[in-house]
Amino acid sequence: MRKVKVGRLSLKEYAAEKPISVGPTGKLIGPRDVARTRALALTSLDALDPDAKIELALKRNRLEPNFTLGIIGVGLVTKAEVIQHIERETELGREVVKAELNYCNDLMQALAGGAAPRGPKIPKPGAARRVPSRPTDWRWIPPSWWKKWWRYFRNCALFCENTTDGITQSAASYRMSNVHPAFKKKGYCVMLLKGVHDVRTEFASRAKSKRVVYISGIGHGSPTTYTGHLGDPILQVGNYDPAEVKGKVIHLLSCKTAQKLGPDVIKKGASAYAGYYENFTFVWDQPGTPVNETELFWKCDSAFDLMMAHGATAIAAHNVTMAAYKHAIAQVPNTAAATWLTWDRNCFRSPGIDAIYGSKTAKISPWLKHPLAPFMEAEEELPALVAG
Amino acid sequence: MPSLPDIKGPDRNKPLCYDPQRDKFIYYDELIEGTEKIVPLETLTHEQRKKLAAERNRAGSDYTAQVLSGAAHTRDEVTEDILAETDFGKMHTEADLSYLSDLLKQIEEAL
Repeated sequence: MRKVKVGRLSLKEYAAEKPISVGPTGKLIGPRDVARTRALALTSLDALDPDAKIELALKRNRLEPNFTLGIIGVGLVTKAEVIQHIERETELGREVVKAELNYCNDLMQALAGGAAPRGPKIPKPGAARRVPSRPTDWRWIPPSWWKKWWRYFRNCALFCENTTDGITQSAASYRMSNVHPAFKKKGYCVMLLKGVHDVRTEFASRAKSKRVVYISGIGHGSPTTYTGHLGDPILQVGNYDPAEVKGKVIHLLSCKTAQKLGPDVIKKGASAYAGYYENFTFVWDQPGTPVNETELFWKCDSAFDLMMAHGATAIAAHNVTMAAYKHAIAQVPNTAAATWLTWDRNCFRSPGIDAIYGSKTAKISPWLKHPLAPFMEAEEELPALVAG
Repeated sequence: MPSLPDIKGPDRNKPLCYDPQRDKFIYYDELIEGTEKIVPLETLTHEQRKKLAAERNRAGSDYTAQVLSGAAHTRDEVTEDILAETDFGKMHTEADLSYLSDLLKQIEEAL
């Protein structure tokens, strides 16, 4: 079938004739009209009155060459039947109208060149190799030895995810599916505290390990405290050993910890902190909208984790996080979700905002660096063993 | 050149500005059609800003906002919070006008 160029798009000849909107005079207008007059795209078909929506969908279907729809649970529906369903306003007819309008809205934006800004490029780690290649610092180790002992050269990311609370659960699930695997694929050993294990006693012993270079999680927070299961204080100003944070990058998805806890961990030796200065607020997903609003919030916040996993500096991770928020806001313009995404973006703190949150150049690596040694834990235990 | 935002459904009925001289809310369609001009948010008093935030919230699509370490608020509750100037209401007004300021800048640049 012949194609014609309309604006920046290439459409099938008959498709270029199908109306895609209703003009100011109430007349149906096609892709060529919208491509010629950009302002015509500045309308939302959702605001049309019901009769106009039906008229638009009917005309579009009548101009379509013969077709048969296959609908799971319904069966095959011919073009004539689809038109009847629209005219009779059956459930299927209403669905067809909705689908047509959704598509027309998108098509108008594409024709007007007003697509939402592209999201930031967050690198996706490739599949994890069974035996990763030797990092620069450890190239001198014989391959056969590396093959056997490489796990002992790994650094760790420690995640404290509050999965037992109805509000934090959604973010915890998102993070476990999207953030943790990225760290694993980059070679990190992932330590996960969740459920009843997301408590201070479990955290402190693990966090002190020099292998732990990154600490992150979702949990309730206050200016001084980040909490886990049933409000157990995981990190609290004045109530932790500096060894738990020394040299580490810490990112907390929680309320208000940027006020006091963030600067405090930096004073105690952490290399960078990222988190929120005010209440982190999100919007629950609105069924029926094309976007999962809640997930947008988790996605924006986790941009920081993903960039750090990939070896970016804290400032680069900050910038990508800001870009992720900007992209998400543009996806849901003038909605409550846009309002609260803006709020959270403005409350986000990291070294990109102020040096009290650590070093802009802080970064992490999945592999130990000299002078740390792969069997350091055993070496540290030796004096006690000998004395015993 | 920045593009105009694709505001859909009931969210298109949320006012973007308030003109205190005429006691009139100004809407997206009026701005892009050129029948109204942007009234900068900075020129509004505290009460006028509150009025704009409350009307925006009332006119928009339904939602439930959740403070991570706090309560969930339905749209109607948020409107009451804004008018009563509770902590959450003040936070909402600040958040919404901050977003609105960005949105108006985007519209101004695209027009």
